[in-house]
Amino acid sequence: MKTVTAPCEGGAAGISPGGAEPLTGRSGFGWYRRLILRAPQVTVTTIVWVALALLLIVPVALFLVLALSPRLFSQGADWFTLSNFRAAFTGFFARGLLNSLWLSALCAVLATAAALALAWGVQRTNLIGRRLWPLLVWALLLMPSFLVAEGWEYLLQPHGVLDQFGIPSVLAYRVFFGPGGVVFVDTMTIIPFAYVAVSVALANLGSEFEEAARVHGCGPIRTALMVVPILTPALMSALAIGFAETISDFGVASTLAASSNFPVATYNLFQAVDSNPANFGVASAISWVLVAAAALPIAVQAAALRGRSYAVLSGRTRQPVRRRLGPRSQFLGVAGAAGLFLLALGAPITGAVLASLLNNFGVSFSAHTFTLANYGLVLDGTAGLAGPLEYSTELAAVTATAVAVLGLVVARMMTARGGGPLGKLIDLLLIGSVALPGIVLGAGYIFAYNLPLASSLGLALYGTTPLLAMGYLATSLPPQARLMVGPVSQLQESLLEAARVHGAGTVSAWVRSMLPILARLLLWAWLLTFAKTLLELPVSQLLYPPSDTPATVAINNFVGTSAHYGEATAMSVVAMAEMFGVILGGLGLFRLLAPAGWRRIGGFINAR
Amino acid sequence: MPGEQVATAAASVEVVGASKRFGAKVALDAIDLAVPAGSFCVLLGPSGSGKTTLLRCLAGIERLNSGRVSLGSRLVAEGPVHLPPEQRDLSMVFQDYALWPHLSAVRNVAVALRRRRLPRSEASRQARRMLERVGLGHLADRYPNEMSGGEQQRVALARAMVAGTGILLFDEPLSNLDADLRERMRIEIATLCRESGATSIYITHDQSEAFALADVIGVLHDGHLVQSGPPEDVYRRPASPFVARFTGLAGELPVVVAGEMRPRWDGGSSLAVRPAAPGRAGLEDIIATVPKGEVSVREATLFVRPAGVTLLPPSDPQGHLGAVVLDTAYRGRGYDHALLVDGGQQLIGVHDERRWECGDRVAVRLAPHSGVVFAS
Repeated sequence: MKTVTAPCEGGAAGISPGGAEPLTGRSGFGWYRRLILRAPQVTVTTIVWVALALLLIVPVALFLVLALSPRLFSQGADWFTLSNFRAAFTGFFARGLLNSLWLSALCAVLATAAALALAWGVQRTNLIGRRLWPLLVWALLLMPSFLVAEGWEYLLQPHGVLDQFGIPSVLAYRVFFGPGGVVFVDTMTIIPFAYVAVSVALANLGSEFEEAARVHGCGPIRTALMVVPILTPALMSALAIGFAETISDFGVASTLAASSNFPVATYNLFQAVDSNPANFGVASAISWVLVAAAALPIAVQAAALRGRSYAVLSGRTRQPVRRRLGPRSQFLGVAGAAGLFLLALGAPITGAVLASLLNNFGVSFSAHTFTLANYGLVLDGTAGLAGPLEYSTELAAVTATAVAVLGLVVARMMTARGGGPLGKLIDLLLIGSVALPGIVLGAGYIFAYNLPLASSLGLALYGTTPLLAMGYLATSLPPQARLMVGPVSQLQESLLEAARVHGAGTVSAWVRSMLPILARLLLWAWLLTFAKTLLELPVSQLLYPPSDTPATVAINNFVGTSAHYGEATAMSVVAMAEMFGVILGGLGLFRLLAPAGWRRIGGFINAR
Repeated sequence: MPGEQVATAAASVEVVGASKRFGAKVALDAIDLAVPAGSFCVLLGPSGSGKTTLLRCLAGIERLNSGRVSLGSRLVAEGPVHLPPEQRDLSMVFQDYALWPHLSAVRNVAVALRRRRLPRSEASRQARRMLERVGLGHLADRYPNEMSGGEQQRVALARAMVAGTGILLFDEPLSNLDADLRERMRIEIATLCRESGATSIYITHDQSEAFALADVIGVLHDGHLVQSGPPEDVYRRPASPFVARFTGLAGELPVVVAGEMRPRWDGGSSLAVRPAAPGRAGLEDIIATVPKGEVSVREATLFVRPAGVTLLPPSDPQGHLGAVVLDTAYRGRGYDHALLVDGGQQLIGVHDERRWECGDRVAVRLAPHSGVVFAS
């Protein structure tokens, strides 16, 4: 009985399953078949690269080249010059750069120290409220820095909220409206970034190192001194992120720092672009410094940790025994945590809410009465003040949806079979873009999409809503796609293959096998992008079209004009409420409506 | 000599009525344990038996819910009294070594000398000397990540030994090493501990490791100390079927009592039994040990130790049972066999220099006192 299939005649490449023709045969049409088979993949790759080029690479690269070669863009006489850098490093601009550098370093250190203390209390002790404090960290993470700054301004300014209630605030006002206030607000707003870096490391640090120190004779303080250096990578990450976030911040720079005559680099850059005529050359030179400064601590961190291992996580890592705090330590711990969030969230929110409820706040110096009139104006469509919130809400929803979809595609490209050189290139691009200040991106867009070349290509988008949406997408896509890489890389291809083998088509297989796993991840990506976009400031400030004003720009503009001061405060409160409301609503709906299996898996947010 | 390593006198360890709960889970339940000064005590038990919890309570890392711990003449835990770990003057080798990754080997070891308040140079000298003692003098300046698992284990051992504390605790220190290294490290630990004269308490779930190291073994099960004593006693006269099983069995056979109990020199009793399964007619009875109390019923279970089982040709009249070979594994010095005896039970780890093939019929002879009997 013949049981063995005869080999192919002519010794061709072999027999493919199911009797199909070999894909790698010597046929002259092999390349054509390969192209056809790979067409969907090639199309997606091309679309992603075109999108990344239009969103990030081209505008930023052109803008940065401008500093060195203004003639290339008809912005000066020289093909190559360092004059823009000389201007950026002299006078007012130099002072701004110097201020940004020391401010960022100081805030990074203060925020890391505060985050370490809070994370230690939450994860290593029986501190009261240790479930609440991480939630407040997340709330603070979502809170835009300009709203924190303005909330404090409402409280402390002459004839502000505290004055209305007869609480003396002159001294606090003097301290707050200056470098001290800028350091304070910037530190508060970067604490969440440092907290996330430190708390993840602390969660992974088993108790055995502390126990080993204590068993071998070290007291509590000496033990802490032994264990904290093990967190060096996390502490350096916290410092690097804190530094990069502060130096690229525009919210505090354009509000508190600007009104305190404390120049910082990001606001100087904005002024250079916003002046008439715009000084793109100096703005570009400042951008070089900002990008380099944001990347510097990351490079220092990588160099410091090279060749050293702080690996402490093993399969047997023991959950730490929580240290029982005595009454005094407990009181100090709770007071410290409560004080921190009171200063970072409670006071500015209270300031904004009270200011929004006062009649003629910021207009008249006489005594005020409580009123809901400001909310009436903001929420009443006929007054025209609801427009900015509606506009921002629509753009935030569109951006969030685009980021969730594109982020997933990009993450998938980076992780599919190691990603290859293209995947690594995308990774590098995304990491670089995460450190790219939004104000630099906005300035790059103004410059690039105003060029004659853009007009001839039909891309003269400056002053249009699509360009603003592209700016939002460009600022949110890199961090979200990078966050998705971890969970997406853990997806087992066999799940998809199992669905296909058992009869599902491509789309159906994705919906059945991958969507349940990725649902929570996508939800968080959508919610975080929505929140960040709704209250985004630097890109909005630079790119908003004349016909439509985003909420953040409207708030800032209203704060600057006393006639609408009350509306600005009310709009701040409504925007904050909308942001937190959408997040809570989204999570609540997911909890109520998602199938039980979807709720048990996936996600990348660790509430710790 | 001034500045030399200080050897603290070995301290006895006494635990009375120690209980520890984690929420509703009782990890330790009224443990009583006495370890004489200078002896080597091994706490043996399966995962979740409470041995690690007991060790951590001795170290002061965990706080007892009730009971008392004394180290030498010092009461270190009872009621509100809880001396923190750093004040108990003991050392510990951790399961994952717990070497501080930011310190070199010599600095890891020197940390343990802080309590001796030595000058830094002297502490460093003593740390280096202890590293040389464990064969790592040439790696003293390396960081833990630059060392192999065995080298890291030696650093952890040096750290525990260097301060000359009177009590040494070992938390399954060999569980992460390969078989060859385990044996060499076991010998090294035994040698160093005996040289130091310290009281050692060592936990493991490996009975062969326990018997090789211990002066005293304590067997834990579900938070109870079910037996303690010299290893020979625990092996020959296990207090319960659990201890018999956990200290190494070939298998369990149903037997019927065939004679009277007779007292033995070691406090146990001898009892003649024969297999409950249809046996080979006219054979002599099996002489088994009754470790505790009396077997007053006719039906009992014989817990067979592997060392007492001999394989014979199927027709050999010395055999007590007939069996079929299920599996044969080459072990270098001979072969380990798995057998299916005629009553349907299995015997495993039955050694013979000769190879019996799968499916072979054999006769099984059980040496006198090669098994212990408990009432079924």
